[in-house]
Amino acid sequence: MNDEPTRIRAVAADGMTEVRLRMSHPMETGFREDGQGRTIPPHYITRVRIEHDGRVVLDVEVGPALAADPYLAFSFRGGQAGERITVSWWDTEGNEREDEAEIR
Amino acid sequence: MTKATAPERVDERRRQVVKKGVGLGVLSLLVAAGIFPAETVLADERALFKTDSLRETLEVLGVSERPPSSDAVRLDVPDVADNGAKVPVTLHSEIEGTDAIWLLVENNPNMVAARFDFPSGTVPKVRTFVKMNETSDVYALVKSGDDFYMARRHVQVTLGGCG
Repeated sequence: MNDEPTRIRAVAADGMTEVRLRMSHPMETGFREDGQGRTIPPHYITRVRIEHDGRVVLDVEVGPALAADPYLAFSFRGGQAGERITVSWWDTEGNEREDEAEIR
Repeated sequence: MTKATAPERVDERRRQVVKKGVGLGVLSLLVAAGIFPAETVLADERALFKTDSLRETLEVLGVSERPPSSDAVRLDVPDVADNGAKVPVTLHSEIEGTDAIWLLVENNPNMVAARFDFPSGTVPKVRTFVKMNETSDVYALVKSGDDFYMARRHVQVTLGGCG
């Protein structure tokens, strides 16, 4: 299971906030085989949404090709130290995860 | 963790419902009746993530002509990637009013790796890592209003990362 929290780092400077995050997820494509030649079933994140104090700042539709433990880095205008960044994801098994961090 | 499905997207989802509306309805009933396990419905039904050519991808997006290449679309990838499981990619659009950027890897089993939606106030630039099955052309496809633009780069992959 994906019980590891998303690691989030958000830093405000010069009126912009830079967000870097890494989600913990195997991102199995469904194309791989295990040692016995059996297909490993697909298990990957399909959607990621990042919010700043309740407002969506990045919305991503994800396919199986993002690398394992998906990493994203981007910037938005605004944001101040102490405000919240929320990262939510959904996957092909119906799992959902939401994590938060404060802007520094 | 709770069982949940991602919030719906409007555009491509609508296209699928038009195509498969009846079939999905019947399937939902079978799931409700316990005949099919729930994961049957949670399987990835998104048409966008089933294409294997640029032409087909553009068709799913409702784009009738091949978008022009633009220097304002930046696609930063290595010329040679030793490890196809983790190829660094930076997508960046300098086109005014950019709404979304798609990352496409031509020779992957499914061509679309991701769609990034940039609300106003977010810089249309994102850095991530993508899996590449083999040496391939990679595209950044940008949508600004009703207009589409592209950039293409060739990446040589030493060790494939999907299979």
